[in-house]
Amino acid sequence: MVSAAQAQSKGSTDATALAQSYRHRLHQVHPRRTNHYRLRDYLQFDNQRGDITDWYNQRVTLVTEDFVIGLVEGLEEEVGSASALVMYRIGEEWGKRDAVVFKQHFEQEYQRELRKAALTFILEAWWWPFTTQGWGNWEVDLTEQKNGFMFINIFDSVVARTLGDVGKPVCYIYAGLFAGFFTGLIQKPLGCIELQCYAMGETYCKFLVGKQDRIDAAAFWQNEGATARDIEKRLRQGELVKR
Amino acid sequence: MLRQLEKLSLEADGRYARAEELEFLKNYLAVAEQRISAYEKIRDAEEKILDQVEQQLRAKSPHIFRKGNQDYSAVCRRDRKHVLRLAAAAMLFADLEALREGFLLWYRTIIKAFRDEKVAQVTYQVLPQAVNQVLDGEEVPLMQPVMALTQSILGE
Repeated sequence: MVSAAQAQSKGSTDATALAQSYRHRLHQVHPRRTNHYRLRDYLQFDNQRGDITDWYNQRVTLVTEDFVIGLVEGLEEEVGSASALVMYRIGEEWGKRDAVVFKQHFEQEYQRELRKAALTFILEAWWWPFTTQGWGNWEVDLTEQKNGFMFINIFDSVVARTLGDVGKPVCYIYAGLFAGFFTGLIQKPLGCIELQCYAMGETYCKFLVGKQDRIDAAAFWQNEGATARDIEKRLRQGELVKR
Repeated sequence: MLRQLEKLSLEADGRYARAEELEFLKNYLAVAEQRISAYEKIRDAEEKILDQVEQQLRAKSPHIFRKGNQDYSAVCRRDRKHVLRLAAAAMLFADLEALREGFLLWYRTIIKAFRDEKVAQVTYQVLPQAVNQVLDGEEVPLMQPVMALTQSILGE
């Protein structure tokens, strides 16, 4: 099961008042609760209204693997090879908007400014709702952050798991999501590329997030046949494509 | 237990539950008084347990709560208190799954995010001993699986 939430922004900064405005019953009762990522805690199934909302009142839709296949294959049918770019752009726009909404939620929930919190903590706070809603567990490697790039591993990508071993990267929506979110978070343009994918027979998906020159270099090496490990090694050694 | 009750109420809707379906309820009720007693003892001795854990941690490493020039002992105590309360509730309701899914897996990532794995490892080795000291012989086995789960996830 995977779910997608539609972003809604809130204007006020008063945490308790906002919590009271939530329809989510658990959130109303425990506005300061931070461990709310169990599926039955995070989502509220309203039988009367016939809808599902998350912890922050965002409407959630549950979709099947057939839907994911239909989305990916339908888009390919419509726009051909451009479907990868379309999926990336969808993810990118989603990520940019989510960065804005996330900042509001984070500052309200933890009562501290986002810029004053530890990055590793911010990232966990951002990704947990995705984990709960079926987008997979992640692992972030920030060791090269000062050099302008980072790696993200996704275990159990919903797109790759659904499509199976098709011999090529398929998680363009994730790559776009990471590019958009991190661009919004640090207010600098960043890109993302999937270096290895579960759909290529790997055990997990690996993404590179960074400045565009890093992404371009990785894309070039990937087209030349380099593996994710080769690309990672070259980037860590500070190598870029000679122009 | 609550989850099992919910499952039973759904599955046995419109019919009588079979003997084997009632087994978990009998097992729970057989030790329900001990669970309540253990819960109340932990609740009443919360500060004592936390003090003891803190003493033992400081004995192992005097600067265990320091990071650079910052002292995080108050934050660590708040977090241990939170863990203890949730662990006691999990024992009371016999619901390890809710503890695991609803708290421990999330909290493990927070520990990792702050690079507190080493402190966590020692903390969740020491905590069960401090908890056991306030319980009697019949109550210790009720808390043991909760502490073991907590230790395996947070203190790995």
